[in-house]
Amino acid sequence: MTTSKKSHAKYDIVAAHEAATKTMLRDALEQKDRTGALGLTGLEVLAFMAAKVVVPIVCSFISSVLFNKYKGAETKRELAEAKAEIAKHEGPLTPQVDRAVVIDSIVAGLLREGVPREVAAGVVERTLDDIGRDLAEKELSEKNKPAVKG
Amino acid sequence: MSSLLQLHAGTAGNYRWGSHLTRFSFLGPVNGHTLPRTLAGSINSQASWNSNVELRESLVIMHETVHYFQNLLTGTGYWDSEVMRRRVPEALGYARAERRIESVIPGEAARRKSRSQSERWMKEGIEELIFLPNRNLPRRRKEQIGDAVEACTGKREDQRNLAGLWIENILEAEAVANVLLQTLGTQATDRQREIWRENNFLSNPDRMQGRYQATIVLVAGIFEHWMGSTFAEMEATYGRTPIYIFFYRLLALLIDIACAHPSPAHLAKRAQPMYEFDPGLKLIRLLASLQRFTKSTAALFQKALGDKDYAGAERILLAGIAFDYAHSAEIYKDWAEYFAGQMSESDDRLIRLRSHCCRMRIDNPGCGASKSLGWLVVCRIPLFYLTPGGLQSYGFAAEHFDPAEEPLFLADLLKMNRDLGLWEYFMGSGKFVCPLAEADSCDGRTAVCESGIERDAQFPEAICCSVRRSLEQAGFILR
Repeated sequence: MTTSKKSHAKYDIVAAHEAATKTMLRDALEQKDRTGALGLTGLEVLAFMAAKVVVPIVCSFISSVLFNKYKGAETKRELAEAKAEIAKHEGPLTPQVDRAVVIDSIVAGLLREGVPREVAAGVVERTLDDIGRDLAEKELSEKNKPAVKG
Repeated sequence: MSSLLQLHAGTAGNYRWGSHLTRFSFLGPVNGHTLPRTLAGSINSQASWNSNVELRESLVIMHETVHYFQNLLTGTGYWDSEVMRRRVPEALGYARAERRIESVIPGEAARRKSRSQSERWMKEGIEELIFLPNRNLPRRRKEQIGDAVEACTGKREDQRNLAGLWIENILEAEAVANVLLQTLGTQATDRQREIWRENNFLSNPDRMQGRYQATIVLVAGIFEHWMGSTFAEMEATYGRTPIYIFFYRLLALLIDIACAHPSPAHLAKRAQPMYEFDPGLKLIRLLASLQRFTKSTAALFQKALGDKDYAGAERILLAGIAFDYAHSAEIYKDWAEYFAGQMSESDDRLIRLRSHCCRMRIDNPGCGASKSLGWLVVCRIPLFYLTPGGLQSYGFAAEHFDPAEEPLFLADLLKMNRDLGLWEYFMGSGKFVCPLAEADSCDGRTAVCESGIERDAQFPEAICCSVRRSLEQAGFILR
């Protein structure tokens, strides 16, 4: 038997991309927020927003039903539920939803959070590309692995 | 040289000390609806948010408005504003001379000599300011605070344990306290509570960074000792919300009294040294006074606090301190006279604003002890803020909407912010982010005006850049 399906489930694609998306958002923020001495931190807000981008994108690689269920996730509880469903998935991860629909839905969620449109669109498109590329590479490396005899 | 008033990266909102201008990033996208919605919720004691972003907007506007009030309603804010008003033009004069020397005597040696002079001057200028970020607080001030603590407790504390008495941490603690006082105990649906819990890293000191916690932790320890019970025991006896409201009300009052810094004339008249009025030093003396209360004094103090008799509560606290601190009422009366004198010499709208706020503070002592949003309305204090979309404002008096007056106020506000930015830029402590570009009020702005000018050559041509034009007209050589 091969290990392809199992290793997709074990590889935490959400965790792997949340940090990168958070960095993208932080960089965009720092471009727009430069001065001040007394401030209120927003670092955890960025982590939350990064999850709001990465989780529905990964859902879109599982099924349109899962994507529609979590594309508008508004709370950490909902995002945690989505992550649990992603972790349970054992099939291959390939695009199941039209790219434009994924981008529009997630950008709309970021706009509700106050993120400027150009920042939101840039971050969502790049994260979608990064995740797609990452999954394709994983799939390819799994296919090229020699079969393990049980 | 490290930056004087440099930013904390990744903020939802911030207030640059002395700017009179709050800034909100896209993480706290305050808009025209935020203040009315938040105020209405605060007045009715009802949660005003229905989404993460609405909650963040409310918390951020409450938090940053406290800093704005600290600048406009306390002696610490008045003192620093006056230092900046005096020192910034002087500093720009030094910078101009420096640029001229470098333009006629090229070479590294000349550059080093002229820059080292201005850096020395910068250091002297900085030490006149009361507010400084933790990293720029001079060791001398930390040691003086350590000495005061030793005098109160008989024990020499490690400086790291005294971070709660550093000015940045004190001001942040007051902001956190006032946000909690405006939100604890509000009526909320389950959904609103869930949103609150998920975003509590913006208001719960336990989940915030060190500078928001340090003073709260220090005062909480003393509070427990004073009450003779731990917070857990007090919660069991009095209930969670009432005990925290009482604690944060006390904390906010103590900080406000600690920040009642006298004017230069008042200091001179009483022949008192400035260092005795360091807010950290005064705060530890106030806490020591609280600790030494007898049972009857404690009862009187608690009654004064319960009755919102802040002047009476301050009198009780000051009576227990050996150093002769003037009462806030006397300090602000003196500041009001100082501003009246300044206004007779200058029509600067920001001096007028400080003067107005000082008189309001005298008439409404509660606005110092509780720096809640409602005082913007009661005291008719305009709020100006920058968002990624430009400059916005709220007004609460007819004059705030006066078409003749408003442009003059805005001009003074932007000029002061321009000069503060240039001060830091020329002293080698930061990029110059043009407030005219941020306010969306300059047609000639370029991308670098908003992202930050790092070299003189990056100022746009004088024909379209009023900042370069003003500097060159004043004799600056920018290459």
